[in-house]
Formats: sequence, structure tokens, C-alpha cells
Amino acid sequence: MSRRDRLTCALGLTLVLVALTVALVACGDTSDGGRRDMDDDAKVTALEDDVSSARDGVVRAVAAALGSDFVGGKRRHRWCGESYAPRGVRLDEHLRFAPSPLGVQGATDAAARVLEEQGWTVERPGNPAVVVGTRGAVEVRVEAGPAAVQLDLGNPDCLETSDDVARAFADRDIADVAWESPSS
Amino acid sequence: MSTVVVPVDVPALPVMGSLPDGAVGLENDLRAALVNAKDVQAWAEAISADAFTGDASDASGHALTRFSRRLDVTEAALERAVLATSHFEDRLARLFSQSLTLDGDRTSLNGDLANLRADVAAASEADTAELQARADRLEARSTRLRDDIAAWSTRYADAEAEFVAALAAVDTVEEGRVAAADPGRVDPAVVVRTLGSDADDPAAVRRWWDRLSEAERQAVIAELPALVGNLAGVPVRYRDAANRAAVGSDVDGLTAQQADEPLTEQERDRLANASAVADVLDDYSQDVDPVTGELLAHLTQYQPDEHSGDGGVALFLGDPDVADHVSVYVPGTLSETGTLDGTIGNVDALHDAAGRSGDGTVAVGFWLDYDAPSIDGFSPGEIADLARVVTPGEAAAGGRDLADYLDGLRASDEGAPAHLSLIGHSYGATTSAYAAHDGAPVDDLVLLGSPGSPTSTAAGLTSADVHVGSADFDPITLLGASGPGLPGPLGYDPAQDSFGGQRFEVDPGSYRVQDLFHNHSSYFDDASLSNITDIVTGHDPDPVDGRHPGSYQTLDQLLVGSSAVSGGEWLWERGEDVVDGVVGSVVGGVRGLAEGLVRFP
Amino acid sequence: MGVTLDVPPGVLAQAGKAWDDAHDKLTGAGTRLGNIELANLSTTVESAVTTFLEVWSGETAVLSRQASSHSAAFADLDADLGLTDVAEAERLRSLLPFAFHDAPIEGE
Repeated sequence: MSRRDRLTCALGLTLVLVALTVALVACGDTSDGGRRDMDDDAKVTALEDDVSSARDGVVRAVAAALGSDFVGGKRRHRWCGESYAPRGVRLDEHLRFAPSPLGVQGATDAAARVLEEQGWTVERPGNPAVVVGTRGAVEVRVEAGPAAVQLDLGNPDCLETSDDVARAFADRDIADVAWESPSS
Repeated sequence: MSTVVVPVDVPALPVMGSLPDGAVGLENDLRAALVNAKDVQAWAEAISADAFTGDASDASGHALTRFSRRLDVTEAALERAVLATSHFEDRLARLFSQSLTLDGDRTSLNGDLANLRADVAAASEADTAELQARADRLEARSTRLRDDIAAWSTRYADAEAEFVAALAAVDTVEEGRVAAADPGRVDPAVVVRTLGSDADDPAAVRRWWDRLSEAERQAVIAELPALVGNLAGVPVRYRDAANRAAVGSDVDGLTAQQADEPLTEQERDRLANASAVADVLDDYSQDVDPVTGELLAHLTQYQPDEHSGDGGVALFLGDPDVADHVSVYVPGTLSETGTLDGTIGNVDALHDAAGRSGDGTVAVGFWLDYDAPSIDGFSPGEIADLARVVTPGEAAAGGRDLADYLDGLRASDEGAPAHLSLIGHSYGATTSAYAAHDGAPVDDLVLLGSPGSPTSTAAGLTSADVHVGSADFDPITLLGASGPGLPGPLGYDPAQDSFGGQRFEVDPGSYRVQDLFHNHSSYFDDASLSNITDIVTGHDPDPVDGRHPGSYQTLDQLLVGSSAVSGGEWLWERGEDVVDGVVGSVVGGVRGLAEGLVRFP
Repeated sequence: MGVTLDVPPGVLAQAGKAWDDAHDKLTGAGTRLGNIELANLSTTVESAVTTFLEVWSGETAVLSRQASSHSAAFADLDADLGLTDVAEAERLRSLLPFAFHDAPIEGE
């Protein structure tokens, strides 16, 4: 087979592959789609509840221990893969706080202590300014710096759903995180 | 014992009521408004009596000229405000940095004082003289530090006062007129002419930019944001400022236009692209560098009309000009400015993972300023666009632009050269390989799910280290795997052992045909993400063997095999349905029969 | 009987479109200036910024309304298919590029 023939075959094979896979992906995603989507919606809701509970629980406790005031936050809704194959969802809530008067080391130590006290599995990665707590599917990442303390909470591992559910999740608007200070 | 006089603790520094990111936010908004005002004023002035070389004695009766002059007053006031805000931001950034140093000194001194108090409490009479000497030394330190803090407070107060005065100097229309007539007002056209023919040379652009005054820089940014924002060699913080202004002015102007008339197709595309980028910037508006307090996101490219309306955009999390490790990700097929979700998610995941390592500062960005094959519907044009995925034409053209972009990052880099990695996925891997082949100045090249490389060996491609992530059951990465030395439609398979790249561990993926695309979109997870992170932070990933003939499933084998597995599953699931259906029919029939019998009179 | 402003074909329509574009961009600029959300700035600075913004968002809004009015004048011309008096013709001529400042007005 000549090089030209091989290229022609490969080209044809590619087009067949694209068409076939698109069709199969479409079939695979819509077979019993209604029931699966309902199950996936429930999984997503459970994840959101877990993240909200973490924010209202351990994150508040960490912020209080660090003595840091809330500055602002965003809730991000993302799919895991690419537009043609979203695979599932990731939720990320980013919360920004004022610098801690405890300093970087004091803040990370305090955050680790609070996470442990509340039953989270704590990891101290190579960056001494970072503490990571994990409970179930939810992770809380604390990064302390002289200019800000930032917490990210969400599911680092993809929560697998149908592509339709993932797309609908990612289509949600960017949301500001509501945060009421304890005194209010 | 004798008394030892221990100095009191040094109190905390005054809180900075104004922070650098507050000034940046204001500056970006002012500049976005200024760009639209300048656009209108440039049109009006160019056709007004002021641009007329003949007899313009009756200009005062010309309404358009009056309009142009009046708008110029607003423009001059906004120019002053943007420049003042920029100065204010710089001063706040320096003051903030100084405050961190002073606060560190204060914490250290107060700690030493606490230790001294403890030592005094436990000391005997004989220690008094030595302890008092320590106290005196600490007193001297305390005095110096208090003086430094007082001087810092004064500088902070001065910065605020001077900014307030700068705004107050142009907060009436009459003061705006004075600003407009100021002979020292910068003419951006004159400034741009000093660039000469060097626009294609990033190093020369960098030297040109360094020679400009801050007023000249700000004038050029506001007048020509599309030029500055996309000009390789301009420092990233200024490109970001220019591109944010362009995005803001596009959203503002086109949204206003949309309210009273339908937009053209090109305008709709532009507004969609601007809005998508604005959403990303808004999404990251609360993310700052925890050390410097500067906004994390930097928009380094914004070309909303490029690539048949798909637009071109590049963005970093972190500042590549100052980071120790810089990584650029190039997404593949179906990526465009309007669909950045997956792309920014991958960048965020990598930035997060690399930031945990503690191996230096990290900036991770994406570059999407090439015509990635995409599809927005099933028109013939869109099908043709998608069909281009099977030819390397766009990858080759994109590779040249990508290499230029990376040259620009090298030129604007500050301090020691950053460790620069280039990561391409899918068609973006082919594009990245072309960029490397064109001499892109990278240290590491990472090819994920690559459908093909322009050369048959890594050594022929680039002098950079070549790393290859290739899932066994990713069909796209098998497109080039016809065999050693045999290319596919997009080139050679870089995962072949004979290619000579370093293949690293990734999840092989699911062996169901309907999951094959998922396998292709899972490189920013688990082991694969961990290995990419290692490369980005200058470490070696976990290696695996490259492909040898006969040791892997070829594309046709994968398709047939995974289809058979999926087909079996499908039959199994349908089989259950059939059984359920039969059982249901039988039960229903019996029940119906029983009900019928019961009702039978 | 109406009057005629003697300019090349298309000039009036082009001017109307340009004024409309100017209106859109100035509306966008004014809206941006009027809606800036200040954060992380001291009260002293916020006060100065607010004063500045009030003045220039107001001035931009005035200019935006002018541009809208000028654009509407050309739109009215399209609808009426003619100028009714010299004053109207002079006004429109004044809104064209200065190169047409002495374009002849004929009729009436």
C-alpha cells in the first residue's frame, strides 16, 4: 500500500470513527436518559448540599480560628471533560478572606487543627502555605498568604453524570457566594 | 533584683483602607469607558474642522466639531483619572509589600520582647546588666521600627491624598477643558510611531515599552487596546490591562447597540466572545495571588473577530512574567472563545495542583488563538470546519502563531528565565508540536491524546524534552499509530517507542465504545494530572513504555473490540427489559384474568 | 416645496449610522461609569471617585443623548424623504463631516 493510499484509508477511517462514535455516544447517553438524569440530578444536589454544609460548618470554623474577615466568593459550575464529552461535574466554591493576623504558618496550623477536630482527613502538601482537608467527596483547600487567605471547596474528583446533566450544570450562571458574618 | 526596663510591644500597622486590587478594579472600569469614548472622539475629530486643512474659520458653527471638542474634554479627564489610578495602584502595591516586611519585623521584635520578659521573670540579680543591655538593643530596634512604620504611614497617607487631589483636579467640566488643552498631553499616535517596524520582534517591543513613560504607556493602551493587548513582548500586566479594556468596551458598546437595533452576525459573534471572556474574568474576580494580593487572572490575548468569528483568546492564572514555572495549555478540536468551560477547568486544576507542590511560583494559562476545528451546527460550512480536523493545515498555521506568542512570553519574562512548558491536547497537541518544530522556546513539550506529530522522532521535532500522555483506549491518539514510521492523517504517533519521547502514565480509559470520547477528555484527572503537574514544576513524570508493534490495539481493533463489548452490554440490558416485559405481561394477564373472574356474575 | 442639501449619495445615510454608533458607544461608556462598584478603597478615596464619576458619567450621558438626537434627525429625513426648511438643512449639514460644511442648500 502506498503512502497516499494509507493516508486515504486513515482519512476515511477517521471520518467513519467520528460519525460512529458521535452516534454511539449519543445513543449511549440517551438510552434510559430520563431515569439516569434524575439519578444524576440527585447526585449533584447531594454534592451541592455537602459543599454548602462544609461552607457553613468547617469553613466558618476555620475562618473564625484564623480571625480573617470574608472578602468575597464565587461558586463555579463546571463539567469535567470537554464540550463533546463533559463526563460529569465539578463544583468549586472559591472564598477569599483578609489575611490572618496569625501569619502564614500560624494560619495553616490553625486551619489544620480545626479540620482535624471536625473529622476531616488533613494533608500538608509541599507548599507550606497550603492545607488540604478531605471528607467524602468534598475537599477543602486552604491557602494562607500575607495578602489573603483563600479557601476552595468542592469535589476534586469528577462526579460522573450523563453529558446532558453535566452540560446543564455548567450552563448555570456564575454565582456570588452569600456569606453572613456572625455578628450580622 | 534590679528592674529591667523592657520596651512595650510595637502595635500593628494601620490598616490600608485602599488596596491594590481596589485600584485595579477602578482602573479597569475607567479604561473600558475611556476606550469607547476615544473611539467616538477619534471618529468625530477626524472629520471635524479641527482636522480640516483649509479655511476653518466657521468651525464654531459646525455642530459635529463642537461635539468632538466637548467629548475631547471628557476623554482628557478620563485619561487623567486612569493615569492617576495606575500610579495609585503602583504605590499601593509597593506600600502593601512594605507593610508585609514591616509587619514581619514587628512580629519578630515582639517575639524577642516576649522572650526577654520571660527571661527577666526567671532571672537572678546577676543577670540584670546583661538583660538590660538586651532590652536597650531591643529598644533601639523598636525605635527604628516605629520610625519606619510612621514613615510608611505618611507615605500611605500621601498616596491617598495625591490620588484624591489628582481626581479633584479634573472633577469639573472646566477642569476637563484645561486638561484637554494641556500642551503636555500625550499623543498616542506619536508614541506608537516610535515603535517603528519592530512590532514583530518581541525583544525590541520589550525595549520600546521599557523606554516609555507611564503616561505614554497608559495613553497607548487606551487608544489602541487591541494593539497593546496582543503585542508580543509587552509585559503581561499591561497586556492584561489593555485586553480587559477591550473586553469591557465591547460588552458595553454592543450591549447598548443591541438594545435598539439588531446586531450583524459579526457583531453577535464579537459580543458572544466578549461576554464569554468577561464571564471568566468575573469568575476569577475574587482570586488573588495570596502573596502579592494582585488579581490572579491575566488576559494575554483577546482577538474577538479572528478565526471566522470563533475569536482568539489567551489567559493565565498567575503572572507568567514573574513566575518560576510557566505553562501554556493548547486545547483542541471544538474549542473556541465562546466555550471556555472545559479549557479553564483544566487550567485551574493544573494551577491548583502545581501550586500545592511548593516548588516555586507557578503561572498556568491557555492559548486559544488558532482556528481549532469547531462546529456550531450542521450547516455545510460548519461540517467543513469540523472536517478540517483530519488535516494538519490549521495546526501548522496555529503553530507559527503559538511560537510567536511564546517568544513574547520569553521577551517579557523578568528575572531568571522561567521554566516554560507547552501542553497540547488533541488537535492542540498537533498544533503545539508544530510550534515546537517552528522553534518555540520551551523547555518541555507535553502531548496529550495527540492525533499526530509533524515529525517521526522527538529529536527531529524540538530540542525540548518531549513527554507523551496517550491513553490506550483513546481512539484519537491512535490516529497516528499506523505503526512505527507510518503517519496518520495528522502525522506520526508520538507515543510510539520509536518516536523517542517519554511516555508517561495515564489511565487507559473505559473499553466501551460510547466512552471512547470520554477517554480522550480525561487527561486532567488522577495519574495523568499528577504527571503533568510534575512536568510543569520541573520534575520527571512516572514513565511507561512507548508503543511497540503488536503491543497495543490499533484503532480498528479498538473500535471493533469496544463495539462488541458495548453491543453485548446493550443486548444484556435489552434482554432484561424483554424478560421484564414478558413477566409483566404474564402477571398483568393473570391479574386481569383473576379480576375478570371475580367480577364474573 | 422642500429644500435640498447637495451632497453625494449615501453621505446622509452614512452620517446617520455613524451618529447612531456614537450614541451606542457613549451609552455603553456612560453606563459603565455610572455603575462602577467600588471595593477595597478607603472612604476618602471612594468619596473623591464618586464625585469624579458623577460629573463625567453625567457629561457622557449628555453627549450620548446628543448623538442619539443627531442620529434621529437623519432617520427622520429618511422617513420624510426630504427637508422642509433651510434651518433643518443647515442643522443636518452641521452634523456632516466638515468637508461638507459649505455644501449648497437649494430650494424654498
